[in-house]
Amino acid sequence: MEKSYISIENVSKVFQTRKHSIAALKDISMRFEKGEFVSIVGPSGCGKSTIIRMVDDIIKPTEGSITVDGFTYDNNVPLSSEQIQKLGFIFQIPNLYPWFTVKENVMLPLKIYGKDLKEYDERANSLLDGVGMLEYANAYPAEISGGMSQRIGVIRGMIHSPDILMMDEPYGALDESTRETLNMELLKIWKDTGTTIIFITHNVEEAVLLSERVYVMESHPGRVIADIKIDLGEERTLDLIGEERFGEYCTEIENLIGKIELAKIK
Amino acid sequence: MKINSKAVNICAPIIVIILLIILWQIICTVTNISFHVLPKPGEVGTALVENFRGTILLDTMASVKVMLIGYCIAVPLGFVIAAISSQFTLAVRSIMPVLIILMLTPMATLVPIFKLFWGVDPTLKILIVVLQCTPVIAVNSLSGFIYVPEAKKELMRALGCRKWESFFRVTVPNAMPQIFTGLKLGCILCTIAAMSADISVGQGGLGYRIQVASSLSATDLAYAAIVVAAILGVALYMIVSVIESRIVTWK
Repeated sequence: MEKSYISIENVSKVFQTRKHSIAALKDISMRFEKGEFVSIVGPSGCGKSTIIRMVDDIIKPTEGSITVDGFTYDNNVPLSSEQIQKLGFIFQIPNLYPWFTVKENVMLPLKIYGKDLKEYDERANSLLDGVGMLEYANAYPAEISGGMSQRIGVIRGMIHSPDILMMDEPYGALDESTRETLNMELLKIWKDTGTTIIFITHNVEEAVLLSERVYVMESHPGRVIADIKIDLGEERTLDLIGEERFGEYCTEIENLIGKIELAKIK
Repeated sequence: MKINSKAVNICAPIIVIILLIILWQIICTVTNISFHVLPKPGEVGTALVENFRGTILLDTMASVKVMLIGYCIAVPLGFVIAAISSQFTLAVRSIMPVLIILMLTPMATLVPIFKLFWGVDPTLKILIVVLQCTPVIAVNSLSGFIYVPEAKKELMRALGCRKWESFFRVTVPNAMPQIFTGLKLGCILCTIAAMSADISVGQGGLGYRIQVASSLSATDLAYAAIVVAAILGVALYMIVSVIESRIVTWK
């Protein structure tokens, strides 16, 4: 079978603690095509974050393999340094280094990848301006608010124009209006650049509004229970939220997640 | 003037020191205590000026030499011990208790044993300073190196950094506050160790001068040497603090 742009094949992940081994993911297979915007939703502990951490080779799968753009890696074979530059990762927390200024934090991936920082100066300023943080470029993370830090964490993941952007509940700590603004900005970036986006969220409405497809997962151990295509057209705006079909998608996904939770209670 | 302004930070301790000197003068005058037990501040000052060229300057130079050479060896040594052991869990567990034991051992007490091995050698004083300062620098640096938040390490892995690259880019800057705590404690122990070494080994130095002057009842000279030793310790501590404020700018 022809491989997709990103293929996760029969991946399992077991975390070893001192006393227990915890099966976080069991025999997961997922596919992402080039330029797709896919969300992964599911209850807490279903392994959503673990999946993208494995795609970014932050943690290793216990079993199975992952292929990104023709390069396969697993528990033994690491992702090559050339391939890793194609990926961008945005954390749930800002995860800024306090010893770097805001701009130095944004430029960090470029510095590590050995890029000429001067070439990217304009791009960094434009991204900072886009999130209203240009005037804080020389401030230290301790001098800005949590919401501001989160926005810096988001643009740090995008600074090197990655082909694949993985976002781990990036807007969880932000207020509703900032979240909506950044979501719309993200859609614009996605359309303009054709970046493949894997978006982790527990907010079903957010997933339906942004994505072309939504993977629904269950927990203990984490498994994929549905792969839902969101057919809401290319033009995604906040106006969609009031539409009937939007509501139907949300209800379908919420029901799936609700069934899981109910099944656990029973 | 604001309570946390720079001028207040500088003036406040100076005023306290002046008040303590005044209190010292008052105690000497009121109690009429013997000059051989507690000379007046003015007498100590006079002894300092009168003996500065003859003995104190030479003793100060000797002590500064021991302190600086010892400290400059202890800093990289402590750092390297911490850096290497931080890479191995077993090393952290086995070396940390040994370092703590060494840190708490007054090294000057080992001088009689060292003398058996090497006789009375001037480099023995440097060895005492090195042995006293290295563990405290290593223990603090090691504590900083091993407590790096997982998220900070994850970002390095996400960017494909190798272990050593991650160490210098994240572990070291993250540990800077603890490293400087170790370096500042090292300054204190360095002064104490140098004075103890002077007393135990002899052959010049401020500690030696304090001991000799006391035994000759030249208490004013002993106090003058103590004042200079204290100034040396404070000066070293302040130099390290200034370097810290230049490096750890993000706090």
